[in-house]
Amino acid sequence: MSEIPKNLKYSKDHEWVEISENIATVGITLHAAESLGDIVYVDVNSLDKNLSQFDKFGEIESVKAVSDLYVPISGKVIEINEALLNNPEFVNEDCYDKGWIIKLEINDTKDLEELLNSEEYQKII
Amino acid sequence: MKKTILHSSHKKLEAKLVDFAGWEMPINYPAGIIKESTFVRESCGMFDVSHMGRVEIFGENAKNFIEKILPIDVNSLNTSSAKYTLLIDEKKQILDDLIIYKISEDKFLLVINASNTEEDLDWIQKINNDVSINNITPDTSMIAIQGPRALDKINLLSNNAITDLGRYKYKEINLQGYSIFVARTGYTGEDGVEIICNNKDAEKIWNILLENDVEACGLGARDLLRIEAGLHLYGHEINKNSNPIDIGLGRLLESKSKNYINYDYIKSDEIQKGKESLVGLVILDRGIAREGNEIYIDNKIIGNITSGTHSPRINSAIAIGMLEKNYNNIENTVKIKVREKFLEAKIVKLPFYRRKRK
Repeated sequence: MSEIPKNLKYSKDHEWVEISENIATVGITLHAAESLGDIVYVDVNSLDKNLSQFDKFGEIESVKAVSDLYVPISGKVIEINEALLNNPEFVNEDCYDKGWIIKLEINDTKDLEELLNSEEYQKII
Repeated sequence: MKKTILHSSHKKLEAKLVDFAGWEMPINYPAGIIKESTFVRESCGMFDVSHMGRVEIFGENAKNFIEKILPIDVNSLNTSSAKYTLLIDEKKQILDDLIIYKISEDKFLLVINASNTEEDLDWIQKINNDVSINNITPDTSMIAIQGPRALDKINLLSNNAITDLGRYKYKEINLQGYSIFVARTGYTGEDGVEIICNNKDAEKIWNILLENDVEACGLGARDLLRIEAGLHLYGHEINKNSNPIDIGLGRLLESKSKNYINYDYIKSDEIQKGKESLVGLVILDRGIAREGNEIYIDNKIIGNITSGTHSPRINSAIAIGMLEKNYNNIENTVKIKVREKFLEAKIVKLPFYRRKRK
């Protein structure tokens, strides 16, 4: 079964977020990566943009399907995991670490109330 | 949903199962589509294809009946040989693409698509008045073993029973005590075989193959491999109203007999004057073009994508598309509308991948 790290928060769209001071790191969950199968493209077109919670920030595409990516928390996209552009398989190999997708600069953490903890996320998958 | 005899074997291997033409089939195993496709290109993989229809046609008029319903030159099909062909009804609609095996002068085996089995059988039965038709699909299982090491593996397990088996030939052999039908056919662009066995032996044979490092591969990998090899899939590159010549299958219309119900059609100007062509497309931008996406030149729609995927061999997205004939120029650049984006693509000759012959 998919392991769900306890230290992260989750959206119903299967993104995870990790907060460290005013930086939020965002990726997709193992459940999402396994459902999509082999990821072949990760595209983010929102660098330097201010996004509101659940806005689209990019697309992720596998051999089987394409899926939109949404920010689980409001903030400004300040960094894209460049390594993913040439190695999209990192998402399948290690979605919670080297498969991270973007980093956001955030103003506060009140959006986190809208997200799920690991136990709540486990229940919806 | 219908299940093949190997269903529990797939579950044991933690396959992801999906509905395929009413059958619950593995789309991929934990290795994933890309790795599975690479097993087949580099070594040897196997696919449960028991959902495909297997129909015997027999009786003293069987040969005459085959000549009547298929565009093959039945006299050039020898016993122990197979041919790829099309089933076209009396309204010129293509019902299916299939492989026919000649078992004897009065017995043939058709292997047809799972999604078309019922309709094919209905039509064949409607036309029939003097042969016996036996659907052996429920009693038998079918496994495709494909890849550069496939023949060696089968030889190893059968005391070299297929060292002399030519392409599109078949044989009844003994594999570790199990009697199987082995045909040197496939749908991946690699060398390999397709075997048919009794249901009671299927799981044992599957396990013997697993123990001999034949990797289980799902229908996702099979689709990727057939697209790379430029092979048609019914419902995508072949449809009821397809012109066989437009889709690059004119070579299959070999009948020399007026006994064939579509003899006049296959010799007609109507069929010769096709309007479209099937082409290969290599996507130059990032993203996969998928079935139904429109193909443009200079803001004009000139065709549609019939199949698309990502190819680890080509290292980019590839697609098969149907275009207006006059735009089929190799190296022509087109745009493909994928959701709100336009992806640039180059027209290439099919197949994308051709194996190295020994």
